[in-house]
Amino acid sequence: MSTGAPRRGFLRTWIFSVDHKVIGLQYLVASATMLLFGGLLAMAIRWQLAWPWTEMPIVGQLVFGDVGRVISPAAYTALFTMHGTAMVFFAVLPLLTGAFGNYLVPLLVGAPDMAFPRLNAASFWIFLGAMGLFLAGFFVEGGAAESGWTAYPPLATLPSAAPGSGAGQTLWLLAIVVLGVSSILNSLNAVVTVVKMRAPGMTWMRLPLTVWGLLVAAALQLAALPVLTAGGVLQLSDRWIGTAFYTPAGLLVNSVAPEVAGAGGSPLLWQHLFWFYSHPAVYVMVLPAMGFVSDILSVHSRKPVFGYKPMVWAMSSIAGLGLMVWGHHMFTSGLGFEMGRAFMLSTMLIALPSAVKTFNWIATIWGGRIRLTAAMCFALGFVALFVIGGLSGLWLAATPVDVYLHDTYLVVAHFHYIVFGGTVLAVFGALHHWLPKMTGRALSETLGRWHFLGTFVGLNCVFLPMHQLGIAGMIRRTADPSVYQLYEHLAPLNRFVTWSAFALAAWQLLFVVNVLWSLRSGTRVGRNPWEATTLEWEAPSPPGHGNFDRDLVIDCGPYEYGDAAGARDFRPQARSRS
Amino acid sequence: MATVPLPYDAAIDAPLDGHVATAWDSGPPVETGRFGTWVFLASEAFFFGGLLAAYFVLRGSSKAWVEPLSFGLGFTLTGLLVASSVCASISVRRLRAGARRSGSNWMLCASFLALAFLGVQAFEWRELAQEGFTPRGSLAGACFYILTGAHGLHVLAGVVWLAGSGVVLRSGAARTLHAELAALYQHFVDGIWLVLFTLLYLL
Repeated sequence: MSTGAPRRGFLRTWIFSVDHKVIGLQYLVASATMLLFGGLLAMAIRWQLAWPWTEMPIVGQLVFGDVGRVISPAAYTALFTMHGTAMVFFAVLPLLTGAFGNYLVPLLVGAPDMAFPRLNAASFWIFLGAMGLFLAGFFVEGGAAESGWTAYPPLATLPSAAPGSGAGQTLWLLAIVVLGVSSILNSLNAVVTVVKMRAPGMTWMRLPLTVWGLLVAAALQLAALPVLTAGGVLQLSDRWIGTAFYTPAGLLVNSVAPEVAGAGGSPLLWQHLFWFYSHPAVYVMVLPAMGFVSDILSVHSRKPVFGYKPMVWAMSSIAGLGLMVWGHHMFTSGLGFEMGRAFMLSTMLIALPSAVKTFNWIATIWGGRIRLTAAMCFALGFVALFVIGGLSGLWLAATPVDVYLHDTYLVVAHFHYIVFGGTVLAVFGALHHWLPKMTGRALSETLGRWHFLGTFVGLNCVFLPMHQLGIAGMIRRTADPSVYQLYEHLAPLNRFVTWSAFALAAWQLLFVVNVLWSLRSGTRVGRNPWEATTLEWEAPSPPGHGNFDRDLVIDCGPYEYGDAAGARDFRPQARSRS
Repeated sequence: MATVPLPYDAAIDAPLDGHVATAWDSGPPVETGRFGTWVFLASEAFFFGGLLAAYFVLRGSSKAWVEPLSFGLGFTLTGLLVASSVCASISVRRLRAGARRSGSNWMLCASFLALAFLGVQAFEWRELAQEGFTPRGSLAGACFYILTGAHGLHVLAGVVWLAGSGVVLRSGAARTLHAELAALYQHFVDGIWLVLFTLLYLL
């Protein structure tokens, strides 16, 4: 290592490290594993929806061997609960704030590490603990949680409500509360690092948009996540102590009154507390991705980001508005007409900054010298699909439309366009862009572009027909649509979606192969393989402990590309050596 | 136009030797630890905000809300916690004047008063439970025990933090910043209590 740090053993280097880059990679491995796991759960869900109650080949024997190799109704409910939870809380959020947040923030602001390195390591180990609690749910009596990723009471609070409402639900809740602690520590670290540890000359308006995205997301977590934790504490109290925060008076569960003495609580209270975090969580899942995409589009089309300051203001206002729109998840839960109208209005306002960003991305690549790298392909894919997901969101925000479409597959289609079509594509793009920095070896561009093409086509084949299923009225979270006569004609479409999902999942092997091949025999790259301007490209690839091998002075903004920048068509942010 | 990604070029890409990276200091002119504590406490405020929002919703929609709390005990609790906070403040003043030993004494005093708060609260909980005011009995009870319980755990952390910095100050090893942050935390916990006292005992 250039910094002359003493060599350490495997354990000190890769396991018990406090280096932000190692912690970032640990998060990357952990959350990518959960992404894979959540994807497999989705395959089981799709199997059931295409061929209800039929024996699963091979997998059925292994997983459902004792129940006749088919998915039971309870197991199906657990499947979609755990799929949603795994993807949102243990895959996508930690991929962005944990993996990329940890790896990139210090590098992009010119710091040697996070502000509190030991706290950073603690946040990862707490995350692993939460992951353990979450996965343990599959192995307890009654099985995993069955109340959806939203854990609405009374299904989630009363142990007698369903098989999975027992120990599985308790473990789920504990996992979410513990995960919250980890995310709060992680976000605190990111905010303090950006505020306090920028290199000389790195002013606020010279920060790359990736940093802005991660910073705004971290601030959002700090404000919203403690509220979910508070709601989780109340729910744990309902389950453990027997309080009745969320249990209404006069409730019957399976025709029996539950044993709760002080009933009179409010199930809606949980929905408010849950969505006060979990709607902003959607923005936590998309703002960093927007940052990555802005950076990738600029670097690979050799042009400055169009409208840098509006981009910053758009991200901040999306976050600010994002704290005031949670009620749009509750239009049909008895929120009331006036409240519904207020939340409809605030939700629709978010379309404004989102549109500012989208037009700015298009203007960024307009007339650029586009290099159609794999990273660029994924970033372009993000922009295209974010538009679809964003517009269907605007549509669902209208209360009259939502009353018809709520809880149908249109909602499922909408958020998968944002999270898969948007965020996950951006993460693939970011991996193609930054993995060479992390490993010192490039991924295969050819394989990467093929992977993009198949993924783009595949995910549209999976999620576009879901709009149609939703408009036809097919409700989500139903284990067997064929029992309703009105869904009978949808069976072929459901099977098409399932086949597409299987193909999409199999296609992801290309990416796994690409990464493994790259680690072994990818082209070795230097400091700056993309001819980019931001600070991470000043450090060696991979950077040593302490990140930079010289002191940095920042002269200019992050997007100095084009002919005006000089002979090389780009001007690095850091003043050159000598 | 270059074909990217560019391959490794030893002339520009070889690591430079003998350099130790510098940690910079930007942003507001306060210590990183102090700034981090501010951010942490802001986040904590949202946690109590969530609990209090639940309290308002449930109390507002309830027809019978009975909190059989003793004003005298509540006043005693408030006095103990405010006194603890004042002691922590005096300690910080003494430390800034360079008097470590005296600062340490005041810090331990603050910790002791916070511990006394927990003792009185445990007594109060027992009395209330014997009168039949329990978390399972009514929503008012559930709210009371969860709010004061969550706050009590924060006081417990304060007891440990204040005592810890008091002891470490004696050994002469610690910078005074740690003690100042402990005091800051104690003021925060004190402030939360004043809100809870007003809502639970006075209104």
